[in-house]
Amino acid sequence: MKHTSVLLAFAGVGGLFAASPAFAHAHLKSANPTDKAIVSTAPTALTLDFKEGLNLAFSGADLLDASGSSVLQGKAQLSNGDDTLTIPLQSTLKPGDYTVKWHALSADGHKTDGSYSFTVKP
Amino acid sequence: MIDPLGLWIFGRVVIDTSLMVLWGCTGFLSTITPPPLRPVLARRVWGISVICIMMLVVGLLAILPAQIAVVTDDWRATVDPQTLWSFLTLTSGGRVWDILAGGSLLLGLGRWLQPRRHALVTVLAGCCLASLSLTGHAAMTTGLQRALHASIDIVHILSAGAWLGGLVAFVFIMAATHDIPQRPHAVVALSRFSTLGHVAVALAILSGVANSLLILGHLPTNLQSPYQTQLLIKIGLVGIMTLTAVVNRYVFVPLLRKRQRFAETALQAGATFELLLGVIAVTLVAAFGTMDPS
Repeated sequence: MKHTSVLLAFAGVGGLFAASPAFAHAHLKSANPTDKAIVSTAPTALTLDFKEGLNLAFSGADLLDASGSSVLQGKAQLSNGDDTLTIPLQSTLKPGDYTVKWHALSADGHKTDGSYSFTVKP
Repeated sequence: MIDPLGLWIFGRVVIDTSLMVLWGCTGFLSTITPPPLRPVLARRVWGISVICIMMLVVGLLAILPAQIAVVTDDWRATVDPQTLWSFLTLTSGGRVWDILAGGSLLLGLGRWLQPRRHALVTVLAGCCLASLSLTGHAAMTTGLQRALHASIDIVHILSAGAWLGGLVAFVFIMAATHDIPQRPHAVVALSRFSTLGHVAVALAILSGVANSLLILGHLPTNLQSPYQTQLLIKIGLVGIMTLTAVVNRYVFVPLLRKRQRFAETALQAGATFELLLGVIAVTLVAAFGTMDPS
């Protein structure tokens, strides 16, 4: 009898949250500028929206121009419950192709990385 | 160059296994062992707990640079004091490392200064095991759900640890049954182990099911996912372990009266087999714990 109630308690607890799918790794949900976007006005900041909270000390992104050299960036910040990473850009982007290489450490300690690109139209 | 993730998994297996043995073995000694039998068992448990504490230190020394190298993608970052400090103070993995480092220091001091206080080792090892739920998939959510998930994770690791560590003590107790004056006490200890063993195995399985559902949101049925495949293998191993425990308890224990020597050998072989599978299960958890569940 005792065992049955323990069993039911655990099954109930498991069932409560079973419906909500989980993302244990911080995957990129959306970004601004978005992947493969062609923008006419140069962005003043990069915004990366993740599926999970990030650890600021070990998360960030590198903005590379077409020749592969880094574009100067300001200090990254987290907002929206640590889900959104915003990186201000220190200079106006010249027209051309850009690649964003990001790396993220989720608050629970898992690491992810990836990249996407966008184009600034002349 | 060594793969940092491989070194991290190695460190985690060593840490988890040594803490589980410390927790279950000394717990067995300080709670269910009849007082007259304690000195006999204490000698063996003292030896194994010293080995476990040394393993714990090795595991902690291996896992710190490995984890920093994983997080930064750069082995050189492991010798950078600024990165080390940021890691230890600002990340969940770093904070758990701090707790474990403090815990192993206290365990070492406790063993050295108070060699007879086995319950102290049990409590410290239990707290260290519980602290593991502050990082990893048990910490992937926030708020109430996170508290609940962490509690289930703590129940899981403590009951699984009681199972594995208890088995080590069980093997020692079986050896004590050869000693005629100790035999009645050993029989009492074994029968208590049987009772608590049922509870530990049941709790480990139930909390494991709840844990899987919380992390995945469904049953692990996707064989394309390395996480779910390894979880299924682990579930299979636990199934075999449970079956072995059941056969030990309900086939070989009753046989002790009729064919004592055969039954004793079978029980010890069964317990050793369970321990072996248990360590493989811990290794799998360390490995798939780093993977993406989906």
